[in-house]
Amino acid sequence: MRDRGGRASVFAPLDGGRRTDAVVRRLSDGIRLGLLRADEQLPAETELASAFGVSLVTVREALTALREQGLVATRRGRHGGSFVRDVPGGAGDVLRERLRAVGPAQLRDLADHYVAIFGTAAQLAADRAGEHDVALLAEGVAELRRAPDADARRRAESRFHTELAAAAQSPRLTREVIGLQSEVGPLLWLAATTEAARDEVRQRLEGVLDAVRDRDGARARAEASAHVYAALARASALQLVLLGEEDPGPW
Amino acid sequence: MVIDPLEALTERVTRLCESTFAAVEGLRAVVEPGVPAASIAAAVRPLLEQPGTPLVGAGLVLDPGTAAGYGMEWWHRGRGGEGPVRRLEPVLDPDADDFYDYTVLPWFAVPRDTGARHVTGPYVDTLCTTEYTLTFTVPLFGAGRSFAGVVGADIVVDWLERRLLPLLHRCERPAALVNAERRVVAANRPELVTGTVLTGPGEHRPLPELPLSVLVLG
Repeated sequence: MRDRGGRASVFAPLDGGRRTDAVVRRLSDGIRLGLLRADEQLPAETELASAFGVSLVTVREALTALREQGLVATRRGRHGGSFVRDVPGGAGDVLRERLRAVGPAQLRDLADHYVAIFGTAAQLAADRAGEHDVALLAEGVAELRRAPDADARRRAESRFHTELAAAAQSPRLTREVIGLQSEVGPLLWLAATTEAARDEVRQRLEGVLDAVRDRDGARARAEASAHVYAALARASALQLVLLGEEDPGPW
Repeated sequence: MVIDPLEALTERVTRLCESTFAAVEGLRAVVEPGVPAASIAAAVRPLLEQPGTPLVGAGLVLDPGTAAGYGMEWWHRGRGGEGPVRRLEPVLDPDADDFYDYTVLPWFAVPRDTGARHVTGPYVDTLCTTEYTLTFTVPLFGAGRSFAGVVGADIVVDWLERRLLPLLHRCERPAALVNAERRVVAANRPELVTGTVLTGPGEHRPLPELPLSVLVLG
């Protein structure tokens, strides 16, 4: 039987595999990217379950896995709970690991998905941003300029993206940007490892900001899309090396 | 008696805003003067838990110039206003990388700079609910009327829109409730999109002591 109007997509495999794995990945990225700090207490299990929209059992399984990976420690007693452990390695390891895991096609698809959201946010922000929104975006670019290390750059970048979606006056786009950041962030923004790449990132974001200031929606979208695809190109280059270096295994 | 629909609209908006500010001023009375900021929690919870309330968040935010420094006692019901009441816990250490500096945001800065109440928005609240929001804030004063922070409450635009659309619908001419920068809060024509800034000419009907007005076009 032929597929009528995308019926097959209804029965395509669900995103993200097992729910437990998705929770583990989200928290482990957060810990290793430095979004969650050493000794910080994680929210209570019930709060995690409601935040992720999963069952308590799933959260407990995920925490057990994270303990086994040495990323969290559980303390008992009145001030007990799950605490983030100090993890060496950090952002660079996360990037390499994730680039190995996703494969080139998935990486490209992620960039396409993000361009759809972020490009539209940029275009609408150019139409709708108020003076205050523009000031926050300008501060985001200034923060990126001042950022001393990779973690700070990634935070500044992620803040700029969220503020851009907020300037578009769209709660949905803002939530999409925030939701995609945990996936897009490590893969695309961490690959800007050279000074030239970092200059390019800064110029792109300045380009988006200028277009928003000039109320030029088409240019804002073009700059935003070019920014994401430039990041994709850098990540892909790194990915091809990583995957190229892997043992091809037996035929 | 025939009531002009535009007048009915302005009256409704004024009433909704005034009752929100009344709730906020009630909260302010709890902590002023010299009462510890945290004691506001006992007054905020019942407000947010009241059935049918439009308030999705409320609390107080301290001026960093006060003895306590940066501080926030803010409670919210989460996205959609459906969830349990939770305390907001932003990063308020100025040396932290993800420090949340609220002193530059209009819901804090305007009451500080003008000494008067303010309605911020409509804007996407990226910290608390990620909803399209209006925030009502009033200045909080310490000893000698020195600025000590703001007390405020959030309502979601969706709630207000629903209450205004029946009245807007009765206006024959294109009309919109807009904020001071002419950003649409609610309107009666599809082309007057919520959240966009209207630049064309129109007849302004400002609302008394609120940074909002009804804009009638065409």
